Amino acid sequence: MLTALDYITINGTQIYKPPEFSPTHEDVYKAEIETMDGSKIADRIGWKFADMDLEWGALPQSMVDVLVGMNGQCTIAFDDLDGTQVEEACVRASVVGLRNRNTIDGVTVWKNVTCSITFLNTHVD
Amino acid sequence: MSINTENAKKIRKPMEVYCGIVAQMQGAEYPADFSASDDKLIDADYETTLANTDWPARHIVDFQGNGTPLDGSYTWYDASEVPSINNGKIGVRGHVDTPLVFTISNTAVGSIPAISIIGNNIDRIEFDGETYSGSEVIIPLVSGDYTETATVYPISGFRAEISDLIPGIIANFDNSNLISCTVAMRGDLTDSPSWQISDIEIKAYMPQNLESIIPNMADDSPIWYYAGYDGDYCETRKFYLAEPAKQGGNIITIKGEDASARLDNYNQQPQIVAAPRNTARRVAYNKFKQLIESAGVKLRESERPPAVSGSNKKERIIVLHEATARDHVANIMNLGHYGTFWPQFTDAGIPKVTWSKPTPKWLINESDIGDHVQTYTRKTARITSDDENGVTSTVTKSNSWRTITEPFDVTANQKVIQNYSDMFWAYSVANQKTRMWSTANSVAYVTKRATVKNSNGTKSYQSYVRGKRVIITPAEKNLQSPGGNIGGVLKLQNIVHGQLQDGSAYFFPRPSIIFDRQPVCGSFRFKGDPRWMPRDVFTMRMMDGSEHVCMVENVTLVHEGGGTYADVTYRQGVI
Repeated sequence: MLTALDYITINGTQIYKPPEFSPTHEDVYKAEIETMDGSKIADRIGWKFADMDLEWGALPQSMVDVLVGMNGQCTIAFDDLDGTQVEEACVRASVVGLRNRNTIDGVTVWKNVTCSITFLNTHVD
Repeated sequence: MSINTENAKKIRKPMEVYCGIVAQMQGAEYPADFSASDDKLIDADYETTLANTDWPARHIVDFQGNGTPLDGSYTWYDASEVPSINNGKIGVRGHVDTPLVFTISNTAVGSIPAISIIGNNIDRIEFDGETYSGSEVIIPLVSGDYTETATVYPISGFRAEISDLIPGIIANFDNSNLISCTVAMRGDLTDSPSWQISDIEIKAYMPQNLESIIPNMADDSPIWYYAGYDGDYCETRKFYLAEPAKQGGNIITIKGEDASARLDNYNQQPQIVAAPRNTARRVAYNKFKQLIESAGVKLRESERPPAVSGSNKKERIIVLHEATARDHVANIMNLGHYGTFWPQFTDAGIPKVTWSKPTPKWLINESDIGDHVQTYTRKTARITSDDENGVTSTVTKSNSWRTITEPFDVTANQKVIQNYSDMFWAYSVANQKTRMWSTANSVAYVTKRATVKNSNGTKSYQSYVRGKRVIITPAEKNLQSPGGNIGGVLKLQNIVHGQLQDGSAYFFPRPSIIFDRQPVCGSFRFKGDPRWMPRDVFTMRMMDGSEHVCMVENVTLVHEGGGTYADVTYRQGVI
């Protein structure tokens, strides 16, 4: 039986969480300078979620529609690694990859679905 | 946390930036009337205290909200304390959980487009059917004669406090609403410099649409800026609005210049400056300072003049020719440095005059900076001038009176202005009631009624002017670098003749100092430091271990997207 932990929510609609889904935080730097000795100096202005490549073995048509319908700024809600529920602004950064279309008992299912997203917000510590 | 500690790190915390503008609109009556308001405390002369935005609001012991912190920062209310910039002010403070009500008026003549209110513990202000949220609001006003009631609602459990209320616009910005803030601080370390104005450009998010009001901010409205980290901020820099502010969408753009832009406003009339050797440096420094202050620059800091020392026997004289303070200041800083006497004016928002030769303030490791490029300027090998008096000259005073204006008829109380092509250090005017002013080549006076018998027995009233000349004698027609002929020719524009002497050395004007300058210049980018100034001296430690003393020519400090960096140009040596 599927639980809430098995879903992510895009623009208010739940879709299956990809099997490999591990959100990571990355530092955001501004005023980056490569110094004369080749090292980097910068101001760390905060952090954001790293861009993610999402991949599903199979998704029903209704969930694929959610991915295809991601235009401009969207919201995505998921459980962060520490278990807290977060809602983030993001944009879809690639076309939705759809390899194979199957119809099983009248239900359309797409296999090998891929899509990349970029998170928009920088968080200040 | 300090700027030095953060700068020592490869990855630094974002710098806190604060800036804003106070654009009071003059000519209008004070727009707020609290006479019928039910306030708890109010300054007797609230029109003055509320309009003085740089007077701080006093922290008074109070049981509103969460009470008063017991850290000594709050004092008991003392009604006898006169509000001032040092004592602070009360402003207007309401009762706890009770709206503060007052009236705002506008007049048909001299109407103002907006008022600004800054306070504390304000939830919202309702005025003329509109609601403005927060403790910093700008309220657009309708022009013409009208009066409306404003209601200030406090945050629950607190009293509404108004500390500033001005006709015009106060806009404060910090990291939360700042898009970018660029401070371009300029010097000119070339062999033929002109004074460079520094400026600031602020781009910030402004939620209110004030497109029609923003351009009404007056020229010269003060813009302030400081940055750093909690507990360690740079000195507040002050600039002045230089072109109309703009708002496009929700982005406001404000551009200002430092006070040194006013150096163009003062025109130095021809003047003789004489000084014995023991006070020559003091006289030159005081003249330098006077040029700057006469132009309307209010100095924030000035070094005490040099001490009197040495022989006072021989007086030396210089003639300052007509030129703007901008030209004279640049000329003194170019040709008036010698030994430890190093008159310098820096502004960049902190106008300051010093005379002691600067020493390195900062250490820069080449390994910590980016894009370091060194360039080589052409050395000056020879200095010439089109001036008939040469590159250098001596000036002497003639002690004989010379009639420079033949007797001419005047009436009593007649204003007379005379201009001459020669230079004079003293004037004697016949039939003079009062002297209005005199320069080295002009005199203005008012005549009195004097009786002169003419040869035919009639009487007329005459005046004439006699003067003692100053004589300019060419000394050197051109100067050759002691290092030989390698380099270019610099043509000097003489705006000063003669030379002042300190001890045995002539120190101003002293064109030969140009030969001592190093030709190595450079530029680099590094993590910005808001304390840097043009003409700051720093030590550059190169990656090969060598060290060079350099002077900052320009610093462009950029705060953008939360990060800070600075682009610096410099010249080796102390210029």
